[in-house]
Amino acid sequence: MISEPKTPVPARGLHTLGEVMLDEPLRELLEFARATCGGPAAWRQRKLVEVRELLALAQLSGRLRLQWLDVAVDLRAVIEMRVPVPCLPKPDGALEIAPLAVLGVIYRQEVLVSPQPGFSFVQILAPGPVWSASVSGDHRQLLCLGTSLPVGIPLKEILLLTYGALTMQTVQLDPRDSAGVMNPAAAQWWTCANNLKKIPLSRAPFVVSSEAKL
Amino acid sequence: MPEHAPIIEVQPPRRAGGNVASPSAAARLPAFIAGPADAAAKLGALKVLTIGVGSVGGRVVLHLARLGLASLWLIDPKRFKAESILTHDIDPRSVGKFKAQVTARRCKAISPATRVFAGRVRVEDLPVDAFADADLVVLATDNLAAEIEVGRRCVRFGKPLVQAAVHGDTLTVQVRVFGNADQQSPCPACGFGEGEWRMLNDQVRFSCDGSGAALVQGALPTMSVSSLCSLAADLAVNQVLRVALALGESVLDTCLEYCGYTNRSVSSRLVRNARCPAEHARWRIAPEIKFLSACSPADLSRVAGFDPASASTAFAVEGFNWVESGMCRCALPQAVRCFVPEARQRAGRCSQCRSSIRVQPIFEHQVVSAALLGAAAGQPLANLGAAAARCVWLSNGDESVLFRAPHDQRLP
Repeated sequence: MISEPKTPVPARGLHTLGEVMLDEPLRELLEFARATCGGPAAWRQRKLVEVRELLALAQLSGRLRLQWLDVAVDLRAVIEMRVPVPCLPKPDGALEIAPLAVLGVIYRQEVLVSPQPGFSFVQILAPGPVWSASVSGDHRQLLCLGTSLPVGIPLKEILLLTYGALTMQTVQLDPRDSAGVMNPAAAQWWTCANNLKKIPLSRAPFVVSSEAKL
Repeated sequence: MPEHAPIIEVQPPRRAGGNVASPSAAARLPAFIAGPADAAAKLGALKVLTIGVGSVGGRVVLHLARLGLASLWLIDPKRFKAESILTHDIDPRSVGKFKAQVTARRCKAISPATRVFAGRVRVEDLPVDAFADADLVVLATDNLAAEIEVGRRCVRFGKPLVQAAVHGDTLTVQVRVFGNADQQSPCPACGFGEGEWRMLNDQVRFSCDGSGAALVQGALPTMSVSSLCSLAADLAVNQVLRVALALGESVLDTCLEYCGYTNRSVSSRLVRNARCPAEHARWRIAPEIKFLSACSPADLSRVAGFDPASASTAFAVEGFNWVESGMCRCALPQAVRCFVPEARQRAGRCSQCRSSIRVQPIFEHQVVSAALLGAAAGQPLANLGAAAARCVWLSNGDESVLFRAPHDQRLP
């Protein structure tokens, strides 16, 4: 007979990403990051923690694939995220939903000591043109995650915010409010009744079966 | 300071009826006990940079002008508001005007021999070497982001920092003196507790226009009484004198606190917080290089004593970003691989489709690693798009070196 544990087992969550055993290809990526990581010691250490959590999140969720990683100065990565992305190729055409986004992610040392603008972390490299109130309508396709992101925000939270913004599970559509609206025309388009009912594009959580994979 | 910076040197006021002879600052200077015999000369050679010239900093600089310093730099992006009259040493005619300019003109009128500069900019927007030529820095702002930035810059260049602050509710004045003797010295952020970090997050807001420049500071105005601000300024200037003239026991790395409720003052030591997230890095300043843009990053690495091929070596050219590649009408990104002036969103034309190559943030680097530069590290900066390079910063992760071209607008 198996006795009940005397103390409850803590629930696993994003705070335990550091404990996830990485699969071999991801371990190799982490080793690559270790070998090429630059900057002051504290920043190097922080970047490696963030990279490890990014890789663990990729393994757990199955939503992320790392295309490119550079940790020599900032932490820069090109990441494929499996997420519905609203696109409007023709201004008067129909909305198209792309199945994944290629994200350019920059995580700078400044994040350790000062709040950062919400648009300074994530750029959508593909697809385009993205039709979202929180994505700038210019060639850079900067994704705004809020008026200001707090000091020390972890990369995993930025990725979760990104997922929420692209699926439109979190949305800011008031074009009069400059805080959060990068594309006022898209904000107006989405506020029309016919379009509003398309929100959110998906209700699926970022990590679907975390317990099974843990 | 670079030429494009909105920093101006204030000229002496024109006086109706001819010039009034300006008194020598030494005319009222006491013979400080155990002080230097050449105190007036020492003060006359002193260059002080002041960040924040409001209710406390504005009074500090007026006192400093009366000491007949060599140079005074006043940095403050804000204007006087109607409420400023309640706490600042100003008259109603100043309302609506820039604090730095108005106060700088008063300083110049007090001490025409002092070179006085006014900057209507945030400290974050000052050139990277702005603190390098100052002898001492005074900080008097409620803006926590500015405190961190000033602390970081003072550590870099080993500049003593005198910080004055008030807490109106408790009638308390605090004057902290950071010696910045080495990288183990405390900085303003070392004293931040949870409350300060939370307040920092609340204070800073950005507009989502994508420019990155539209920073909105939500810092509350100083809630105090004019006399308390004045007391803070007086105590701060006393500490400046103690540091500049080495008067009495050293006040470096100390905090002087006066409480108006108890009429007690306490002096305590400031210590480095091992968990302080702010960078405590010391920069070496290399001798000026006349033709900086003729040097390659690899040349500068060797002069700095770094391995130019090492993956840990990194470079930054002030005013420029390294653009690795960009997008045009072609399907694939086009290599750019040169320095492009900051904020420029285009980097030449594509040789195939002839359209502009647009800069993508992910491939644009303010600091570029030697690994990314590759063979380009051997090319002169001028050939890499940075012919106007004025300042180049190099780091190998543990050490940093700053190279500068000669500049006639530097702190004199």
